[in-house]
Amino acid sequence: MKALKRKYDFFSHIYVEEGVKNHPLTKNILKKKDSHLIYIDHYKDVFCRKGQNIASQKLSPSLIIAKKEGKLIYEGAPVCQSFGNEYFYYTSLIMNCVYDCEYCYLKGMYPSGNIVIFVNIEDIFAQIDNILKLHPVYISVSYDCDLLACESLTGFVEKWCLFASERKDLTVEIRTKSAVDVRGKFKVTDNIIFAFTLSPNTLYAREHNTPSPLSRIKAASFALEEGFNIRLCFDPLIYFEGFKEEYEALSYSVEENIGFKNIKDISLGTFRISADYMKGLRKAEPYSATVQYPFENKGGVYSYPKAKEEYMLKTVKDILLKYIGEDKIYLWESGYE
Amino acid sequence: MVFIFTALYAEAEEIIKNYALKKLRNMTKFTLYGNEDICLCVTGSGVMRASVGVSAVLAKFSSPEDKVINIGCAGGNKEGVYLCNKIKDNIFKRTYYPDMPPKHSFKESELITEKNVWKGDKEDPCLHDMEASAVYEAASFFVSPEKIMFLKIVSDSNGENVTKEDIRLLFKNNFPLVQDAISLFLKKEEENFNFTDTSKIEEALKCTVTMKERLKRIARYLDIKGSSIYDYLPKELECKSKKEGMKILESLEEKI
Repeated sequence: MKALKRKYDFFSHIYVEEGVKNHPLTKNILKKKDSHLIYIDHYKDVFCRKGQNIASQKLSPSLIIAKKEGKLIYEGAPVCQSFGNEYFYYTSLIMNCVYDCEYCYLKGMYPSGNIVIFVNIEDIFAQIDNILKLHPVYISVSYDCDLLACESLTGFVEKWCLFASERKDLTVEIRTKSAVDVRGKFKVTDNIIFAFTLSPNTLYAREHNTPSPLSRIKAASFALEEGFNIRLCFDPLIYFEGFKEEYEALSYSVEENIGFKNIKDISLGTFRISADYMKGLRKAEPYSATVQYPFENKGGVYSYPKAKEEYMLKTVKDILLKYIGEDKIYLWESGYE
Repeated sequence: MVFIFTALYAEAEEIIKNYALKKLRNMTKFTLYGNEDICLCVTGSGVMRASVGVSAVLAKFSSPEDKVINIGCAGGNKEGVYLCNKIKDNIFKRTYYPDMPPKHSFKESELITEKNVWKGDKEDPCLHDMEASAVYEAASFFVSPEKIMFLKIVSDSNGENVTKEDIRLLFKNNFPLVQDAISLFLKKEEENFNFTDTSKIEEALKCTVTMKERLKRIARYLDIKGSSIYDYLPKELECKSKKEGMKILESLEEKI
């Protein structure tokens, strides 16, 4: 099956909730984009319409600017890794991602391929401060999006770095597939973890519109050079012919360009997705071998058959153990952590 | 197929003539005009007629790949031809948002669907018609929001009496733009992939409903990878029981 090159056309239309049209971030975003502007009452009027074509929207997503209301911070889901943190939370300032990975669970989770930016980061900060009065907080802020990839539009990462630098009980994980050079851009603080998701070349070919594996590795090395904590995520692992050889090459490249000894930790996990999301994902990616593989449904979560999953985890773990101690490798296995 | 809905024959006449659409008799209660790519229906004015017309035609002839365009006149304080990005229903107080094509050469506008002819308001920046919200609501039962388009030509600014001849001329003069809008939807999409038909294998393996699903999933996966499920199956497929079929299915799953 030939891999078709996907062409993207971002934000030809921007929908703005009437309630945030005067928010400074809204004004700032609108200044940067020359798009058709449509005012709306509530982001769900556009984002949650029935029968949307996610595949087509991923190629030319509209932007929706809105206010996040109600619950702003969530407790970590069981399919996510907590890295041993007792108080594990996540929040989503952006819904959906500018990248178009064939296997991305967001295509099954959201009813739309359009991107929502919630401008009221100050309300999230206020809620975190309330939780911090009770106990420390570990929060992942870039699960349902790629915050760093959208930095030029939102400035959210800069705000998170500043906010975290003044709160020692707060740890913030910013997961990314971007290759943004963070040097000189953000306040350096040791409670920010930039988590770079790395993929070998065969998998990268299924991660449309993303930077190459090498440029992500270089971006990680720049973040490290700047003084940030770096996490590497080999997650999700997806099986393909030449799996072992390509992960060996990828690990070698990490060692050459970053050095495993400098990395805070590594996350390792095979592909898994809630059965509820799989249906939507397969509909959005009807021609992706990655997605159409006959995964097994184990207790409501689709993943590889046990033997294959064990092979994949063991193979990559063994490769990594040549460079890094076991205590730094966090493994996700089916049946949860 | 592109389905075009207009309220009046005067709005449809140029399209019928230029695309050489033939009258299709006795297909629905509405008169249809069509060729290989286009089916046009004149519904009559107002939300009720538009709703019934769209439902009757799409229920009988459409598939989810089809596209829908509502073309017609609108009142407004600006001149020209517009693609509408927001349809506000002034009767039921609902708002609809069709997905807009990312690249086009049209001006865009908000459109308000009214129960009666709009009488004009000099401060109002929107366009006003009497069908669009009903077209959207009805069409969205059959196709997704990026497959519904609204093209409006401004005919008046205060509800003044516009004759059929005025409308016919308006559409004749603006026909190149109408044609551009139709072209946006006439572009052929990539051909669908033909997946292997597994019905004969299902029969041979005496598959249950669940086994059929598993088999289809494997076949689809191998099709996409560029191989075929037949490369992985034994030559002799006929099974005496579903238990035997299950063994073949399981060995297939191990191999891929």
